[in-house]
Amino acid sequence: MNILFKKIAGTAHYFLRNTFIIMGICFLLLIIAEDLYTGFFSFWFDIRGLTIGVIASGILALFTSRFIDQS
Amino acid sequence: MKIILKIYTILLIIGVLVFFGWLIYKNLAITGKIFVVNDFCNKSQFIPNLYPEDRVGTLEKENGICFQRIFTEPVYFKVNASRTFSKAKIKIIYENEGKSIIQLGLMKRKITPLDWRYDLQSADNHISKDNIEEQNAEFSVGLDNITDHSLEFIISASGLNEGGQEIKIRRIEVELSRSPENWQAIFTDLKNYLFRKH
Repeated sequence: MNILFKKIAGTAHYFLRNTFIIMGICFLLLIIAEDLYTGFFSFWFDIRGLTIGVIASGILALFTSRFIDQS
Repeated sequence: MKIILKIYTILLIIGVLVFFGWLIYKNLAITGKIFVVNDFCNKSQFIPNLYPEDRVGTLEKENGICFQRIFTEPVYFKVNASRTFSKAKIKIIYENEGKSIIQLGLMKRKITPLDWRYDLQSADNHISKDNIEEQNAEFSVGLDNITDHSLEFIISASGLNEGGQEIKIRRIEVELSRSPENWQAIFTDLKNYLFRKH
């Protein structure tokens, strides 16, 4: 069970890491675009969802990094 | 596993690109129309609440109906517009116990702080059902009406200041329209929107 959990967590790490990087870039672009242009982008959706998604994937990616198979 | 991870990453990138495309599509108002509402229950990004604060009440809710009271007239509300539009159709729904005559107007861009020019419409388009009234108005909009990406409207209520009455504004609906996007000129329009911001 422990080995299976480690394997799943280790694999999930790569998915979470990529999610964090791409969503993080998306978030930064959105913040820059808001300032550069009219600030209307976040009017169409709830930016809190994206913020929570970025933070959560970052924390989980960091947490699961310890389960990466080093062998 | 590596292939699945690659596919997942590509899907994420496509998702982000589609997301930005959708946001630009919404802001450009490709169809030529944007319909926005403030029902005073949920915070509206496009139509913030009425002001100035000393003439209106806070948001209230009674029997599931949300509203904002007006004590002294005139009051104003803004409509945030992502780009320029040529027409604005306004509909307000309100309770008017004192039967004040409600008129809607569109403010001109302020050149000085004391510049209060506006285009006030007559109270003709008025519908009354029991105690609930509805007022409609249509305005031509130009660059002369836009300040910091927003249009400013005035609600005038003749007779309100005299009798100690009040008006409960329940809902504001705004339809902004312009000619639909011409796909041949989409890049020119996109450039105008991104660089000139209109």
